[in-house]
Amino acid sequence: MALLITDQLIEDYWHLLEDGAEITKSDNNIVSVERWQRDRDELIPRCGQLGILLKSNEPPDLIEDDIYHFNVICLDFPKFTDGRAYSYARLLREKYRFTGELRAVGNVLRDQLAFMRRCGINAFEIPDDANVENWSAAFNEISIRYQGANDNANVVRPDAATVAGDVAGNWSY
Amino acid sequence: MNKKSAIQFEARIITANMLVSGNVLYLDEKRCWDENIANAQIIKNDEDLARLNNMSQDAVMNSIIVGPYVMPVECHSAGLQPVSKRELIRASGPTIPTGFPEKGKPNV
Amino acid sequence: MYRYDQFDHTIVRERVNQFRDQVARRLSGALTEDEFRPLRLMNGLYLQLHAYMLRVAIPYGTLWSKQMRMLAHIARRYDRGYGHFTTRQNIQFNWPKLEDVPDLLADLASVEMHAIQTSGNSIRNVTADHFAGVADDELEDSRIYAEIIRQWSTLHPEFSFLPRKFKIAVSGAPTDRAAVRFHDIGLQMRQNIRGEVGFEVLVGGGQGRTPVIAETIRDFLPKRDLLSYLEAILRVYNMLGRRDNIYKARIKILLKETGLDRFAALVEEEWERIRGGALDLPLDEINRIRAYFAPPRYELVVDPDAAYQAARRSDREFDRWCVNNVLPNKQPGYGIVNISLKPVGKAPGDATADQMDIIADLAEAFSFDELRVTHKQNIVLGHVRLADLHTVWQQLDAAGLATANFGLASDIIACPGLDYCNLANARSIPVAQRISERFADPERLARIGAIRINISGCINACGHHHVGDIGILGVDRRGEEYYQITLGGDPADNATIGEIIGPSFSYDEIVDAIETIISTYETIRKPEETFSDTWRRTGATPFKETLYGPAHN
Ligand code: SF4
Repeated sequence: MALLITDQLIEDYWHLLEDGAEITKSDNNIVSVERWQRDRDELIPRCGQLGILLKSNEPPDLIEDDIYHFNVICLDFPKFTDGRAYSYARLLREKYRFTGELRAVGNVLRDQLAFMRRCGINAFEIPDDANVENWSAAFNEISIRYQGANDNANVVRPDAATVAGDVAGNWSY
Repeated sequence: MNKKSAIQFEARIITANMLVSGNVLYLDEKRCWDENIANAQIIKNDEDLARLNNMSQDAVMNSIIVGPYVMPVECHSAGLQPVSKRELIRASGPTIPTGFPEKGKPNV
Repeated sequence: MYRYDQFDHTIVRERVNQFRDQVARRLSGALTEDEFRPLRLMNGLYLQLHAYMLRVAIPYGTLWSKQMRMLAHIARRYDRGYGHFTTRQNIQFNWPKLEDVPDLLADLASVEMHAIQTSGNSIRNVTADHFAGVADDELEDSRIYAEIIRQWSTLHPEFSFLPRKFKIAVSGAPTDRAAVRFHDIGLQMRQNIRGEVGFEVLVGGGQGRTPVIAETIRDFLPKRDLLSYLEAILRVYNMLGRRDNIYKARIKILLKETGLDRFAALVEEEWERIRGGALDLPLDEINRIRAYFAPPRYELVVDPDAAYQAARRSDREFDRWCVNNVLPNKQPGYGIVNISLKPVGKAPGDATADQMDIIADLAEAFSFDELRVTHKQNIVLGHVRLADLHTVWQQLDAAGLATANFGLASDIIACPGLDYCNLANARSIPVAQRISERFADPERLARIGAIRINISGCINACGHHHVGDIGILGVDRRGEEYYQITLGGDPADNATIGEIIGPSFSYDEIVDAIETIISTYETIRKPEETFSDTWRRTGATPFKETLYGPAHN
């Protein structure tokens, strides 16, 4: 898997700590919620950084009080049609004020990247053979937003006021 | 299709829809996809089935067809006829007028 | 009527280009069918029995003549010369080719139309009262809010992969013509004790396999909180709705599992967090949209038109059509014309390209350029001067569009059924055709009076059979088409789910069975009773006796 962050492939210096694997001192580890709950006390005092993976049936309120421990939170998209993590992303950003790396993992598809980013996800695990230019283009296919989301927090229609004037005259009655 | 003619035997064939047009297709004798059920290749044995399934998968991979499946047919003296109502309608089009019947069978 | 600004134009144009690229990737083999299916579904493109089917959005059923002419053009250029208006106030084309769809969508975009979110597990095309703006009983024009919701829900980044499709309906009048109790969310405009207008919010209604009548989750929601409250409901549903079984994925099932109170508490909690924030809907924005729906410039009509009165006296056919198909507009001297797409023996809701053009011409000449599609699969010209009615009728008549059966037994709602639909058990259209032939006599239709017959080809209930006075559901019995009958359904204020009356009937028997039910109703009803009145008074017994004999009681 390659890691796409702001239109570039970045070397991933994190690794996923399997639930059975031994905890090391200095690696940057991503752990499961289960592992976190079990080995919290052992994981915190290490010198490596810490990340957590939320499966699609693990909402962020499970880690509500612990969010400040994590530098990266991975959201799993197990299949195209499972859209729970879009809401998790928005809650993490807007309710729990998580400011670190929010990473989409799992079955991350090109045609969903723009939606993910609009919900606050800023890193994407994509297939190794993906063409970066082509995948990055997916972010800009739709340049306009009809609704406020995580990327434009204060709008019903951001530029409504500026265009309202020129339509009134067009209108057919 | 003649409903009255006696059923000689029951058999299976492979059908799918064409990717570009959505048209109903049948895997035919000459190893290609045809709109006419009369030309469909009958699956005689497991070997046939495996071979024809492979051909279908190739056609899927090559973006020619979508959703191939095996369907039962009856073989009448007049030709092949689907068993289910659904397949009858798939084979011969809506049972109601569709506007321009002369365009009823687009080219493949 | 709403008109696109630069903003809307850009979004729709970009969406067309995006889909063009997706289709190209599919045809080249870069996308597999599994990967492409959700993408095409997000654009209303299905693969049906014989071909692709494209469902085009007609937001809240309203369109102007130029758009109707474009639909006619599309029917001619990309299809086989006709289209099918649906119970969701949309139109479906039955024969487009995948390779043509990007061009088709580009043509649509040129007249401010698209197919976005007409399928898939997203917030679907919002529906509204088809008499909005012309009915005399409404608090406000529901299309204003339907348009606001359309914009908010379009390409919503968070709610495009919901557990299941999601339908919202808005009614601005105390008489519910939008079936708000049968939607995932129904919004019913209400006035509170302070005289402010807002919404009663209903949630969890729906038809399909498990019909449920929506429950009120909030008695009164101020208008400015509309979008934040919707977002709260959708967010809770998106996170908690079931994803393991598509038959249990609708919000109605979630509500059953959590209970209304707990669900409401979760929604309120989330809403408290976000209300007044990004989605606050200021009055300015409401007024900006409201301006688009301002009433047209009606003429002041002083006297009822003498020529119109004379035409009604001298032309019986015209008079019958006026009685049946024309309703009063709230503006004196104007009428609401219901164009029936249910001519005897034809497919309900179908219109040919030529008919679409004629309807468009009439709207332009006589109804301020505006048209509506109703969930009964008819077309409405909302503002026709009574003085013009005779001319309008003559032109409709010449085009086979003047059937005087609005709301009567042959005004049947029917889904495409097994003639087109991949999911069907049985055909719907020929059953509707045969029923309309049986009840072709206008005198007989008039004697029977208002009655709603609804036909669905399978349990998905696109023909809304659960809420018909008489509902007909296609079922499969060992490969044969059979039809189960439900009676006593009601989509509106007395929302009721029809009751199964007994064993199903074959394709050959079904029309006789419907005739038996209607004759029974004619025999046992009291003066002034509607079908549902009679049904509520007598229950199933008399109908069972005539259908199955006394032994079946
Ligand atoms: S009710 Fe069933 S048969 Fe009819 S259109 Fe819907 S899915 Fe198809």
